[in-house]
Amino acid sequence: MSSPAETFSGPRDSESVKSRWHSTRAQFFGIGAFYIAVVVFFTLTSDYFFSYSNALNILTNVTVIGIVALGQTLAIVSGGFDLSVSGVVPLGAVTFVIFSNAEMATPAAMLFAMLVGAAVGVFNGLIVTKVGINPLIATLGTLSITAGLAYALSNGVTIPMKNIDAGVLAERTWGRVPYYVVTLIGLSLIMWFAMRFTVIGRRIYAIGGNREASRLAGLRVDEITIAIYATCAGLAAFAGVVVSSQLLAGSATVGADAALTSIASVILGGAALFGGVGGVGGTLLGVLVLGTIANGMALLMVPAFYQQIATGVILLLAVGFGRLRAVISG
Amino acid sequence: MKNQGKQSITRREMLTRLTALGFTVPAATALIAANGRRASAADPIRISFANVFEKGELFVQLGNGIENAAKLMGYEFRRYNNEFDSEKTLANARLMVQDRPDIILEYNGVEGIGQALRRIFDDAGIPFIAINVPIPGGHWFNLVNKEIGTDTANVVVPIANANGWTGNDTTAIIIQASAAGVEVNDCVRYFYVTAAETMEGMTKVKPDEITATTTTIGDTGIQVDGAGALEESYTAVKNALQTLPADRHILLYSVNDDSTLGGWRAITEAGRQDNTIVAGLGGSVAALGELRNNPQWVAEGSVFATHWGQYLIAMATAVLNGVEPPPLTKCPQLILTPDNVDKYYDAEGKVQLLPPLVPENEYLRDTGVLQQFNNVEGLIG
Amino acid sequence: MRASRDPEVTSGPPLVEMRDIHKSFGGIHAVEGVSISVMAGEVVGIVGHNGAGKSTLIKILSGAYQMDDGAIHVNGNRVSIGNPRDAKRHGIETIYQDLALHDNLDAVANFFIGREIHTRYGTLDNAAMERAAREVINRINPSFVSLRDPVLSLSGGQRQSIAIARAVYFNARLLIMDEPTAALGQRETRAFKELVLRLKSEGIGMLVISHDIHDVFDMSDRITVMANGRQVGTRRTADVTKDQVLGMIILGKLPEEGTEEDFAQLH
Repeated sequence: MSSPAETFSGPRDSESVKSRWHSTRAQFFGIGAFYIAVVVFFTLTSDYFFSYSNALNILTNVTVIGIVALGQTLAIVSGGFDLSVSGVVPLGAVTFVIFSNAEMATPAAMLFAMLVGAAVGVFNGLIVTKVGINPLIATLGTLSITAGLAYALSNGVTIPMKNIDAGVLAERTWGRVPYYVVTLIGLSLIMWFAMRFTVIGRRIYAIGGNREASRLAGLRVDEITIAIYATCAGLAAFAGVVVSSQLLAGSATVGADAALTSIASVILGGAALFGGVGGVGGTLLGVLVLGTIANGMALLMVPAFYQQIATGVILLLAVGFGRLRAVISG
Repeated sequence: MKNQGKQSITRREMLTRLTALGFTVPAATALIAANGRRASAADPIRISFANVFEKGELFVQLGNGIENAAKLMGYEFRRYNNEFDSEKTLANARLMVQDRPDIILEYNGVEGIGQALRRIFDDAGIPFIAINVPIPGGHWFNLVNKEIGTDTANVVVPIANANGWTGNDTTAIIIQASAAGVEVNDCVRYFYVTAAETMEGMTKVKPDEITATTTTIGDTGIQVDGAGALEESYTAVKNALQTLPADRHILLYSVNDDSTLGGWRAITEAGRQDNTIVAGLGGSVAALGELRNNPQWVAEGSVFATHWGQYLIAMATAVLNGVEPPPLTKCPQLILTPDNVDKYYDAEGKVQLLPPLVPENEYLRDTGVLQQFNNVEGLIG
Repeated sequence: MRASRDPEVTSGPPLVEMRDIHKSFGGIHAVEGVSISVMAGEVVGIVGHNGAGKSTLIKILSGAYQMDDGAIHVNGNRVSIGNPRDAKRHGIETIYQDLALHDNLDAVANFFIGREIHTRYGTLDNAAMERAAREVINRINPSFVSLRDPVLSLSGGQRQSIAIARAVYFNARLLIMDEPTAALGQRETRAFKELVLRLKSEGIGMLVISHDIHDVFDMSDRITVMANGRQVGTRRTADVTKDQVLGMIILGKLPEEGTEEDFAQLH
């Protein structure tokens, strides 16, 4: 933290401070406008885009990353990162199927997979808080460990679900909407409420805004941080359960891009890389933008190589344009 | 990540098992005496093998199969792990030549470093066999994706034709893995090319007109990229299905079983399974289960990778005996159907019989190695 | 014991007393055998060079650091302060030099952080918090209006108002202030000194660290001088001159210990 004398000596500084604030708000509305533009563009260019079945298709495509991104929002808002989700998603997927195949009741197998994830998260939280290792490095380490574990547990092969009733989350309810989409919506509402209206939500923002001040204000910073990583990894493991339910099989290859895509979504949604700013609404918008662009390009039959390039360019443009607009207007 | 502990246990188990089967040293020596040019217990043939990777069941089983076969023949055997890394592969090559084995089996995953490997082996004057990825100047053992794709189409399309499907109401969805390179994707390219030749009304193309960036082939072909993985293939096919009318017939094929399983899952989820005929490649337990139980899953290519070891050891023995192998020695490969699957695989998905040698592989018969395993159709005594 | 030579302002047990405090960081002695006390309604200034151990001493009292040896008494009872929550429980509030504000939160959130008013469902009672914060902050700084903007956009004086207001609101008996005037303009400093007088009259004890010897003389009843982690001495402000205190800071000796020549060098 810079000394107050440095931060508040002149009007120039406080202006840049203000523009940073406005930029996050502009980012949120900017990305909303951008999303509408994306929808309009693909509606005009593809005959297959604007339909109920494709809207449902997009929702089913983004659910897994959406669940991961909810957890990632907690980690990033509190001033951290969780790269280990890329290992925890496959670990959750594989443990769920292994336990389901061992004739464990489906809810118990789900709970167990999530507990495995939460345990990884507690481990992440402990090395970040008590050992004091930077979250990027700490979770990079657990990413490697958990991904390796997922391979070891599955012997590197796809394990089919013996009891396909265990894939209950992928079954369809009203309007052909799968239960896992309903679950994502429910989780988002809970998280949105918790972050905006509860004491613990307020404290998560406080820790992300100023970790040391939070400690001095008497917050149990370490305990909250551990709980955040546990929630994030628990959600990632649940995302693994959802993938397995979709595929009716468990595989260690799933979720490899979960870390990068979830972080990209959170940042695209207006969260600050340095913590303290961001929210569920923005994150979901970010997830939808990336998922809709991927779907639209697939419908337009854009080759995979170019899809990858286009996604990167759009990500940079969307984030960069939001910041630029804020600088010009602020 | 490296699984070293697990691997050593596997090796120990294997030795225990071999001993239990009665393959004692004298017995093995007797076997070698029957065919070896330098057969004597004091001077066994020495083979070094660098595996591409020791992660994932397939590679570990492949490596174990080679080790198993070498030990069965009483050869001295050393195993290295290239870790899918060019530096590591070159370092291993230098280590291997230091030991001066009689022959080297090199499974190199990084195609670009072939010349460097060749120089190391040639300088040491040690013959070598390249597995899967060719190395200039070496003998080559591989599957032929092109033939697998063609043969699979020749099983799949007649069934579709018998249903009365034509190019007017049928689309082939092929799932490539663009990052794996041209040779791997030959199976899906040749699948489509052959299908177009044998089904009326399909848009005909030349094989090289289908590239990594091809996405549509007229109105009768869609190529998506599944990255060789379950989840990616599922999502890619799900998106592709949005562009096809619900009553359109589909031929689904991909580069490996995970991709086909992912694509098939997308099709069942969309309720289109009755309009789809599907074929896999790999012979995985999950895919064999589909072949046996799923009426729409009509063919399954297998390359018997777990048993490459006995062919490679036979090939190495032939080379040491002075035989010049063909430019490419093909691995055993076969298109399984519901009718013949039980002949080659048991109910647990274990190989119980290997297909007969193709004519150009007859030279392997002369080494007598394959006969020791008593599992190759036509070579069972 | 040096402490025995310290003059007492009033009788009765001190509000807060630190006795023979020791703290080292990896072999470096940051604080060695320092004892200070603050009576109710008294302002004690702590002065000394950078690295003299002032900040370490107050961080022990506010619970940010744990001492290696020594004792802390509040109203004559020995207490243990293991973290900032313990200190707050004993009525010890701290205003840090950087104010320890959360730049991303607004004034109300900062005011209540760690002690939020909530409904029985655990949700924030924003209306109640805003009412309470507005009342206290306006008493301290009537010109303060922007309670709902992130505090990053506020001036140094406004930011300090929040830090002081929240310390006072929660029934502080002892206020620790680290360089309270460093970020303030002249007018804001004057307003701050008036505030200190008001808090004094309410019986709140204060421990003030400052580089500015003039400010310390203006505000404090007693002054403790520290050098190299040790306590040079404590004097009633009325009994010493600024030069004498300066001498204590620079020479690390009490006025009566220094020779004429020592003090002559200062001029």
